[in-house]
Amino acid sequence: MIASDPRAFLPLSPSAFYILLAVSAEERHGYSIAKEVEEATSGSVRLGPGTLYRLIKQMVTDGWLVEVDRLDSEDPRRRYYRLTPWGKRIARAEAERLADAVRTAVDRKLLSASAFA
Amino acid sequence: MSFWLRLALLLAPAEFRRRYGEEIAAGEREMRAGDVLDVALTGLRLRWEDFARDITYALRRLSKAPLFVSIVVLTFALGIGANVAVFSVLNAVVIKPLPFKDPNGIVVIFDGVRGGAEVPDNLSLADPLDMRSVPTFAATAALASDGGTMLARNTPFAIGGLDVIPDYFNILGITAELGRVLVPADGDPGVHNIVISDEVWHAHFNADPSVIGETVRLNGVPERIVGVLRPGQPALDPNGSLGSQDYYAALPEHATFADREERYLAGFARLVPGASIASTNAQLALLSARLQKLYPKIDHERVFSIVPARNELLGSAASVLWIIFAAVVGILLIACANVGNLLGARWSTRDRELAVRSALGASSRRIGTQLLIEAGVLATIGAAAGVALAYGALYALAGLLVNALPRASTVRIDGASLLYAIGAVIAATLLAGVTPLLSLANPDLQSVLKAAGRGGDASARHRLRSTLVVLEIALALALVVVSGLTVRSFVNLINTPLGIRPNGVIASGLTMLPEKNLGTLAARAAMQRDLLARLQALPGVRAAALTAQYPLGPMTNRSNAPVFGRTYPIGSVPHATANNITSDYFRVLGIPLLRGRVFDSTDTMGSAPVAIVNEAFAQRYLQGMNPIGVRILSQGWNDTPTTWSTIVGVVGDERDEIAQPPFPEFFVPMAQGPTAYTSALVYAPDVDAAVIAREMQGAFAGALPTVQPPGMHTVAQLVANHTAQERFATILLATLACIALVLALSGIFGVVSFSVTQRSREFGVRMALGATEPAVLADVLRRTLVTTAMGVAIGLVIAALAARAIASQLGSISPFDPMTFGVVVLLILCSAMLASLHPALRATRVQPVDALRYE
Repeated sequence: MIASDPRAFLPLSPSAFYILLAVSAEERHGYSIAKEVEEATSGSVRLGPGTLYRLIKQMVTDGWLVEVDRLDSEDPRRRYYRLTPWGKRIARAEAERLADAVRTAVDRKLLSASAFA
Repeated sequence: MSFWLRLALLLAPAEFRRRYGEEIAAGEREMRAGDVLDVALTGLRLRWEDFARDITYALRRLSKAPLFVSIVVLTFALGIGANVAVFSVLNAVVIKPLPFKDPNGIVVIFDGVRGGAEVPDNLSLADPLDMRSVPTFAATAALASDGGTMLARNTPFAIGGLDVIPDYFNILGITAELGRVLVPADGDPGVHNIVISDEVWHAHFNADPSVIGETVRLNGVPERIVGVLRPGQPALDPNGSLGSQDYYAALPEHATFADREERYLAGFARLVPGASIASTNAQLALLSARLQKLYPKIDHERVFSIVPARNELLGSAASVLWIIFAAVVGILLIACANVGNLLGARWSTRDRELAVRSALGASSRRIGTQLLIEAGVLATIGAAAGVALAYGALYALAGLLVNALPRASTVRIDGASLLYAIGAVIAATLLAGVTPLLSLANPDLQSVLKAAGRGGDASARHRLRSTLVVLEIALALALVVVSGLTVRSFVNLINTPLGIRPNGVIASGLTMLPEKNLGTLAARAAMQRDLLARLQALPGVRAAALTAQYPLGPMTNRSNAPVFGRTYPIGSVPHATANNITSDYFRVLGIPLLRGRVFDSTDTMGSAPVAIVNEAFAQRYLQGMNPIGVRILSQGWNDTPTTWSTIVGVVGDERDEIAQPPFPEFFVPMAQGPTAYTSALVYAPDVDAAVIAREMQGAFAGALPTVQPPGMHTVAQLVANHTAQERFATILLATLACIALVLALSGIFGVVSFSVTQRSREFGVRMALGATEPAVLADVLRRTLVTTAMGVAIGLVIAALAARAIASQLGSISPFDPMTFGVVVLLILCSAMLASLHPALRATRVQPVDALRYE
């Protein structure tokens, strides 16, 4: 189910967006995604295992993530996930949407430009 | 994996668990507080999403089959609606506890044994007071109906109430909304205190709080209002039901010797906690024996006994309602079998689709769940329509219910009814869905894939469908038999000869003569002569009489009537209905004079006391002798004299109660014992009953201007009032039997139609090979006959068991009445044949070419 315009899926929930961010640089297994999200947000976004895997399942079904086999995995039960090009487009679209919002906030003097830089 | 995590994962759909369970468990060591809960909640959320998707899918599929949906929804609506309606009645009348404090401890006291050969007698005022010595009674009380005209704030109005021993309020836990309830001192001589209902307070006192202490006149006697009861306060009725009362007055707390003779009170009591009925009955037997020694003339042959108030209040209503409930459960089963077959037929045409889905990886469990959800969606829509139907049915039947059942005014569709409806939906879903599921659980889906296109019918599937029809026919037959028996017994009951004219007689309710005429018997007699003369003068009246009581009337008074000069062993003193009448009583009611004479104008206060007995009295108590000239003791009531009266005539029997054989009865002339209470009877066959009733009320108003005229009834109305419960049960069971029959026949129609469609190829081949149309027709009908005959055989067994269970409700009709059974079997066989005739004829019209074209 791949739509041509990723903006049809926006806005993403914060959890979904941070999961995409977590796997954008490298393949990760589920638990390491949750840990990465928590560190990246200084603990403000916490993903319980149920929530995490429900989102992962949905993203795999929708083609945002793919499972990858890793022979070097220390625990064979753990599976690794990688962002697909389509997933990357969606993540980028969401980031642009957020950036637009921040620019508007600076224009309206809600935020100083220095904080942005 | 920890127990809790394992449990949390179990909540999730199997697919998710298989795929991610291991992975989640791999991270268990790093888990933090709340993570297991998160897994559990996620599981529930995924389940709900699946469920919502299945429902959407089911709705989308069903919207493409409006005819199928309408038939199934209608079937479920009838089945579940009937269940919800009957359950609501059963719950309100039978299941809910009585509306009193700690209702299980309340018992009703009789003189005699309930369920014995004779109707138990009432108690005298002395009895409940004597019974205070029984240690297992926490309190005893008694009550009698009273009423008449209340004059308050210069306005007279009719009012009905109870005279009670004030412990009535303690025993039932009734408290006042305003002022206080009655206490023993309210029964002291010279004290005239009453409490009134909240309804009277609103209707006649404008809910004025200053009513406490106000004096009103009740039948001319000044009474002071000391309390107002709570809104809707139910009351125990003397005739063993629950009612509402306008006011309560106190009976005295001490009894004179004379009080022992007047038995007009309904007794009841509260048991001490833990006391049993049996031990109390044993104590009462000791008390009875002691009273017989103390008062041998009066208290011989007394056998007190108690039953739980609940049993007495519900009477046969409980068993009648359970029977009807069983009938509606039967209907739901028939409805489910029908729907099961319809769903089976529908899904069998989806075999191909299901096989494809299965091949594409949908688990058979998911498919099964989807099928059940489709059944559930249909049952839910059906139940919603059914609850609406039940609501309408209860509304339409309200009038019938109130007359037929105790506490019927409390019947409504409430939370319990809706819970029951939900239960019915679940049961209906499983029952209707599980059989087609069984037939779909064919592991060899490959063969289905191959066969589906050719309409091949697995014979196992056909057998399952036929089995359902057999069960439907069996249940429908049992229901029709039970309702047939009920109808016959009801027809019997309402045609019971009462010993009186069925037409042309109008009877009044009970009227209490006003206070100024209560004082002397002569004044009462004068008032009665005036009233009688006015009634006789009405146009079209051929005869009129005044009487203390009449068949199916508002009261029955019985007393002992020993024969002069005889001594009786304990337990065999003549006991009879005691009636005071004017001379034309027998002419009005058309009761034949068998020997001697009736009363006439020579029987006056000054002449020798005379009596007339009925045939039952003569046969039972004066066997082998000429009753004329025998003297019997006639116990006067309402302060009329007790005298030895000479029998001057014997008349035919009349029934006090419709379902009881005629009871021995003696009559004394009203002129020699003018009672304070009286009813009027007229015979006016040529005048419209409503017209004469109005004119009789006019006569009452003319003779007794301060008294509210009583209501008037024809004999047919009295019979209808006395058979309301039977009428209710009969109408309901007959309706349910019709529904059951229609459902079962539509079941037969559906299955035969389906089977003809499935076998059309076979018929085509056979006809191509030379089979004649009659041969094909006979083949289809023969199959139906076999199925129906099996259903009839099983149904006869169920019907016999059901009939035996309701035997006590059937009166004189045998539960195995051959005529009813025979007619019903014929009816079922013939209508089954008729239902299959149309599809069978269709089979004969199969064109061999069409049938074979698909090969």
